[in-house]
Amino acid sequence: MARQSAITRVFGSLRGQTLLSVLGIHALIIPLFFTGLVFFVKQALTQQFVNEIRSEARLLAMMTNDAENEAELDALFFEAQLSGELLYTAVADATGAVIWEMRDALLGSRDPEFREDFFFGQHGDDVYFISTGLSAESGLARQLRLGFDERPTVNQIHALYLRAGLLTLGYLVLTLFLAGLWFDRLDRPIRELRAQSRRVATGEVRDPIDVRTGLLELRDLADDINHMRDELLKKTDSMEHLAMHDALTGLPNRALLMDRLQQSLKKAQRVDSPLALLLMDLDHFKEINDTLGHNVGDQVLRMLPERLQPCLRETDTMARLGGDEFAFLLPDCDMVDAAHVVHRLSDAMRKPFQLEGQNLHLGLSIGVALYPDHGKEPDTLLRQVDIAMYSAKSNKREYVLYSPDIDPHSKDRLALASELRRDIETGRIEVHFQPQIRVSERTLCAVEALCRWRHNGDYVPTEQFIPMADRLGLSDLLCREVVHQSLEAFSGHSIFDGLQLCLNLSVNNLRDADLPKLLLDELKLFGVAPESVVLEITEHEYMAEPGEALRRLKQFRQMGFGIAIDDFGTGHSSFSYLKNLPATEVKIDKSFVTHMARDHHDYALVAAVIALGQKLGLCVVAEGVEDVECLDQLDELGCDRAQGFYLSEARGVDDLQRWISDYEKPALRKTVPKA
Amino acid sequence: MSLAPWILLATLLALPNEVERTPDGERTLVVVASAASRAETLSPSEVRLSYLAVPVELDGSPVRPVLNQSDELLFEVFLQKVMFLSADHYRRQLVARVFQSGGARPPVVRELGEVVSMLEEDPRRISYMWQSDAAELAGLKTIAVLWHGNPQ
Repeated sequence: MARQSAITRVFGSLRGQTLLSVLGIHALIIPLFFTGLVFFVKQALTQQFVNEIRSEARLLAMMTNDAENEAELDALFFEAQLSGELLYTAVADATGAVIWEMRDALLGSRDPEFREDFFFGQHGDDVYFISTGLSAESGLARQLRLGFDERPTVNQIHALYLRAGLLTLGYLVLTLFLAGLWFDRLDRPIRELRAQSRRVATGEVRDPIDVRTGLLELRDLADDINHMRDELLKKTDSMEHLAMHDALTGLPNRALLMDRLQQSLKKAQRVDSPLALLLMDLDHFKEINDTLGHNVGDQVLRMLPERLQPCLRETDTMARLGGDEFAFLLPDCDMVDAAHVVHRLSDAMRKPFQLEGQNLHLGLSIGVALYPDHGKEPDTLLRQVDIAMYSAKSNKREYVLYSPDIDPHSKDRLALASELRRDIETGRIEVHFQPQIRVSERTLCAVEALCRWRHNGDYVPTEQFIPMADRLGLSDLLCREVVHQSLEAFSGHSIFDGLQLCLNLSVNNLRDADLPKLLLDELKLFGVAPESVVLEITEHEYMAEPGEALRRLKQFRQMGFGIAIDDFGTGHSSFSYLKNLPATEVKIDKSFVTHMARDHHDYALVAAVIALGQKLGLCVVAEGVEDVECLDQLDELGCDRAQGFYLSEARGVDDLQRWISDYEKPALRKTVPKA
Repeated sequence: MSLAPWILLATLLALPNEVERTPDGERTLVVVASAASRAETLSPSEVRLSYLAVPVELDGSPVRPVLNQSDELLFEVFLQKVMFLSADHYRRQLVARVFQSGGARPPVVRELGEVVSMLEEDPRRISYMWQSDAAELAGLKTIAVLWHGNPQ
């Protein structure tokens, strides 16, 4: 089957077709050529021979007539036979009997019978016999018989066959050679054209098709393919542009930015030069889309390249990554140059965008990451600059340079998380207690348990390690550790007698179905009544999962625990909590309390919350008391309890014991005067 | 494939060229003219001259020869025994003479019947043929014997 396919392919190819055509044509031409040539030349040779024979016979007959005796005949024909062609001579009488005869030695052993020939080679004896009558003077009716050698002419004819054969063969070889040359002349550009067409088909369309040939048809074909290539090139360019550029702004997109970043990093590595990557996010752009519509938002985005690109060099790249995020790739740019660019961008954005008769002011937050300081790979740099940008946004700064401190995934942070896990699991978390006083009497009434983590000799801020514990999935473990330590200390020291213990819970803790049982077990273990414990939850935590949190808090309340709403006033639906939550206490956020003595707005808010709490029968606790004026004002407003640095920071058990001892002394109590 | 064409071809090839011949193969070449011709005799030399376009008169009228090529052997015998030339040389010779001296080339006739017709049309015309043919054809008379022998 494969063989048949190969044969079919050969004879289906241009080479095979050419070969077949040449052979087919010459199968007709060569026989005609060969036979024609042979025929005419053979004809000419035999005619020449016959003509000479006939003329010579007549001449010899005339000379024979002049011969007077046999001696003269011998002399005459001896000379005639010296030519080599006359082999036989005889004179016959009227009866046909030979009366004189002469044979040439060349006749050899051949003894052909005299039979007159009228055609060359008629009797196949290689001798052309001819007779002619002699005149009456030499004897009436006498006949001269001659025999001429046909072999020289036969040899000439054989040579003719050979030469004609060679000539034909030469002709055939020459024809095949010329056909080969012609085929090569035709096939080479076709193969070239085919190879280049394949190149175009595989997508390499940049180089035009160039086929060196004098054949007009092939040049036309190459031109046609070139035309196709041009069209393909246009479409490819268009598709590449679409694939690599943002359709709205025409700026390079993320893919092109990554490509250029990769190239720029390679070059920077090669020439040892710095590189800066900026990531810009527009502030309040969402509000523009929400209030004025996406059409206006899109117009703003379209105006950005025109406004910001003049702030860049020609070698810099501005790209849109999506939404209102733009990146700037600044090759050969260090921190100082990057800061200049940031300022130029910031200045350019100060001018409002005029759209639909309105002046739109847009702020920006820019993250900056540098090669090689912050990363050597494109992905790394892009991640670092993203972190820096979000840091700028969350801290409301114009720009932030990346540093590991702001990176939750930096190596230092990861090491810290690892050590936090270890310390929680091994119970190395400390629990400190912050005193809470009854405002009207200035007497100690409760302590709030606060966990502390000492790392490398220093305490890590709670706002740093608590979210970290949440992310690490250690919040339940941390909660149990804090509950255990708190209750252990609370039940084991007499200083806590008659006081309430406040414990903070996160929304993750509320999700823990085992927490109620754990609390009961711990209370039972340490002999503490649930009524002595207040569970605190912030507004934010509650808002995360209000349904689940409400069910769990109601469960705790039914168990006898007190429920406190922590950081009250910082959420969005504070009043509805007061109505729905099974709360027993409300803790006013320190942001209202701390400056209430100097800020009449804060004062008014605190007063309102206290009044509201009292009306609802809730115990009101003020957090963040940092001076005596604040404490006095809280007293005036009828606030139930207070805590804050003015009274005491959170302390370990031993330290708290000393503080309580001192606080109980009347001299010290004077530092917390009652107005 | 039908064998009929091949059988027909083989039959034609097998047919002898000379249907008519004497038992011993002896043939006689004669010069003939129309029975209405007043010519009585003509020598071989005169025949040769007339066929080389040399003017020859017979009874005061110019002889007008006709080349009989109805039989190849007849023609070759005529060339060998009368003209002493080969066919090609005869034609060249004839053309050369006509060009040099004027006159007309003898018309070439390839059918024996046509030879007879031409002779009957013009009594001054002569031609050559086998004596056996001349004997069978009416309206002709033999005016010379050119050769006798066995041409095979």
